[in-house]
Amino acid sequence: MPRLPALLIVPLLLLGSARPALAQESLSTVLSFLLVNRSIPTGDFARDTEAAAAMRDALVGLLQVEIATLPLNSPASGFTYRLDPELGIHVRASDSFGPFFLERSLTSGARRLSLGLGFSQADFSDIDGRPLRDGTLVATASQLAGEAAPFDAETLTLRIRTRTATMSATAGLTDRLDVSVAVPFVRVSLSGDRLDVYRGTPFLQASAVAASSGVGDVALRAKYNVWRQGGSGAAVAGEVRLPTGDKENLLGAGSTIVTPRVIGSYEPGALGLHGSFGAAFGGPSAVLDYGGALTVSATSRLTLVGEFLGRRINEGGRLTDVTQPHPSLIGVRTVRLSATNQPTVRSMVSIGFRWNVAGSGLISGNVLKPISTAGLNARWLASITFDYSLGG
Amino acid sequence: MSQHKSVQSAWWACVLVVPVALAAAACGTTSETSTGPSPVKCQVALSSPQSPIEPGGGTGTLSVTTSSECAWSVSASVNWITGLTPASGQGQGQIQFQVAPNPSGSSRQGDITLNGVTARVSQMGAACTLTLTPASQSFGAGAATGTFTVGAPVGCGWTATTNDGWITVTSGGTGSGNGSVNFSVGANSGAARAGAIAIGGQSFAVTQGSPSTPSCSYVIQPASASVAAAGGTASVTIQALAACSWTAASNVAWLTVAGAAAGAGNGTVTISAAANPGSARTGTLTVAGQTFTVTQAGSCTPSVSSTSQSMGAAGGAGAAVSVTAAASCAWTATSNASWLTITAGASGSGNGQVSFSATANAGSARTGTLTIAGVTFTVNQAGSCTSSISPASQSVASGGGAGTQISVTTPAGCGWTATTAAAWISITAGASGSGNGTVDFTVAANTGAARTGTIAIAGQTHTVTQSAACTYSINATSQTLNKNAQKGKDIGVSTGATCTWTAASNDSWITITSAASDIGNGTVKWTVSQNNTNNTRIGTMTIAGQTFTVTQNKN
Repeated sequence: MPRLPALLIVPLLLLGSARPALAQESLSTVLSFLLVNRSIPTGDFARDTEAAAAMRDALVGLLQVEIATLPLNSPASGFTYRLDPELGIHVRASDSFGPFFLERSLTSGARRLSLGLGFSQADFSDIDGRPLRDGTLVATASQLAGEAAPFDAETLTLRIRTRTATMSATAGLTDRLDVSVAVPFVRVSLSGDRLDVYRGTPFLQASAVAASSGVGDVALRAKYNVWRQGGSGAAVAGEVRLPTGDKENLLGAGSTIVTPRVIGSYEPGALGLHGSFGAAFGGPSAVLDYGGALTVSATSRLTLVGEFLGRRINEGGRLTDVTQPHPSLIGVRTVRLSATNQPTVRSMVSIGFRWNVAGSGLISGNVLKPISTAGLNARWLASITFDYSLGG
Repeated sequence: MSQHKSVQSAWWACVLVVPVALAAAACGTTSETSTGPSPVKCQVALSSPQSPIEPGGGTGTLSVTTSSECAWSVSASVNWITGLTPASGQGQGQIQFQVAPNPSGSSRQGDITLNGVTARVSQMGAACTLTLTPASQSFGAGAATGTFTVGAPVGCGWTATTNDGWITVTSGGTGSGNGSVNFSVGANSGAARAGAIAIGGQSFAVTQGSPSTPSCSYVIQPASASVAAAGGTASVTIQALAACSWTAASNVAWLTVAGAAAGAGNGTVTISAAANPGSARTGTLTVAGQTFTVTQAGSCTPSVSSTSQSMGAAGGAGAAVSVTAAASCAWTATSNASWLTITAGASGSGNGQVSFSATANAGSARTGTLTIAGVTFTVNQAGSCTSSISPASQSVASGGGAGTQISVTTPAGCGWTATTAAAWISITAGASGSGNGTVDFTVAANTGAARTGTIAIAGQTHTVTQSAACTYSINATSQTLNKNAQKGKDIGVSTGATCTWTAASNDSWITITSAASDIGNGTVKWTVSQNNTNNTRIGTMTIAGQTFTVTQNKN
């Protein structure tokens, strides 16, 4: 056992000695390059540079909000204990290992320590219901009145992938109070093309490949169980996400986000229902997050989980097409992809399992699927986590 | 058991730590960007004039072939190509230009460039016709020098040569364009002689007297005289050296030399004029090599049927002019303009007719005169001022403002005006002009129905259509939906083709997916998010100024 803390120090040392970013352009800059800056004179079609810059800012902001507010796996331990006053020892408070993303009202128990590591990957496929990867996302188009199709259209192809390794630790300070920390290591890779099709002839205007790796926004959490009865109960929790991730590289939100949360659980037996509601302040946008989970303790070692996650992002923004007359060409109107700053709702569902492999080790796997079109979406998001509980 | 637990802990530690360590070690950013070649858009084809322009200049036309959205501007590389009309445009079109006369005997080329594409214009050189001034020169018997000037287009070369040994071209024997030739003649010891200097197909005549011929000069006084219609005499005195002989001879029948018709030294010649039964007339005599002019009043007053006539630009025969005069009254008809020709009745007596014709007029209107029986007859001929305007019509938005500038194309010297009867159209520039020009105008805002007005420019009509004040309507004003997130029915917007509109959601749960703004008729697509509340909610969108109400049932 004494070797374990020493082993845990290694990644922290590595983290501390992480290579500084190379003298490369940030992902935001690369995204801007793809969206607007072709480094080529625009030639015969005068561009409204102000409108183009607005489109760039809107889309970059949209991507930053999406990537920075992706849900993290809950760092809470799958094992929950309570002090049995009759026996005077800690006993499992529930046979269930709890949900993935939602917190449940039960705590780890006094002097319990849980360590976890999760991996997730997302390949984003569409934004606001518009495909990102097939070259049909029209950034700007110019069309003559009376013609059925634009004579000049610029389309974007974007391939955005995030891979996240989240290291987490949860400590039970008292029988009802948990504190936890989650440190995500994020790799965002981006590649894209900007293609101009003029009168049927395609011109590749710009291509970019970029990737960034580093620490994301570290999450500090505390949860206090205010009431419990068996596996059921209620808790209040708070989460602070620190701006440790590089915003320019889409690794973090760029500012501190504070989320107070209330949690309720009803778990009379093998079935458990959990609900959570929180409001996030700070960051790129105020967010209401809410969700519910159904857990089924199939065996004492296996819990099946289904979850619903909802987020209402106040300044999430929606993409829209703006049509304006061309400033100088007669009979030509220009359609630009732009974004409106308005609240949007993202909804996801998740299913998976949590399996007690041996001892107090736990392997969890789940897939997350968006069920709304708003915002940046992946067809599937898969994650797997490893937890180990100590103490007692 | 303790050992088993320790091993298990180490395994989990490895599972937890190693990937994190690898992830942490990989921190950093890489990027690579590249740009493609600049797209080639709006390629333009410019037709070249098929045949060279005549030396006298003229007009030409180029055709522009490009896509409808492509704007272009045109310029000429030489100053002898002018009047490029229109100077700029968009899409397909034609460009007219004018070429000035070529003063040179050599052909020349100039370029017209449109968006970097060049069309070459060729013009033939002027014909190399030389003019010698004077055409001849006479010398005494002694050696002498002489000179004459050569007029020729630039680039026309010439050489002055002579086959006469006593004439020597001393300088300017060869040249190009305008120049002069100097020559000398040797002393003549024999009889009078004549020679010539040949130059460019022309001949400059040189005569030289003999030594036996005194150098005689003659002065006659007076040089002219008038006599009454009834006839009479006039005298002219001759001053000359005694050895210098002279003669006097009439050049017309009605003038005769009454006394001696020849003599030497000083003398007097009497001239007799017969009675003039007709109109006034003028005749000459040659006295001592000088011309003596006699003007005689007429005894009749012929009249003409009209004193002026108008003709079309095409020219041709004019209407005959009748002359009314006494039977004995003679008269003549002469043209005072090179483009007017007397075709019949150049002279007559008594009643008669004068016919004339005019050449075609390629330029602006002109006026020439005939003198018929002493009366000035004026011919006014219209010009070939064919004009065109571009565009022929245009549409303006209901808000009014400046219209698209109208180009006027017409030959130089052809005047034109631009006027309108529409009170809502104001001509701000180019109300009149000459040759190529432009017309600017503004249109007042239209608060009523669509309207059409015209501008008369250089005999052409430019039609201005102004759309009605923008009114908007939407094909539905409300929709009720269930609680689920979903798309709403498309909302159609109807308005004028030039009317712009916007669509905006007034509630966060309603999202306009397209189009947030548009021109003319259009469609608004929208969605609603799921209603997770326990209340039916009502929201609105403002579309083209209209309110669309959305009701979504409760959860």
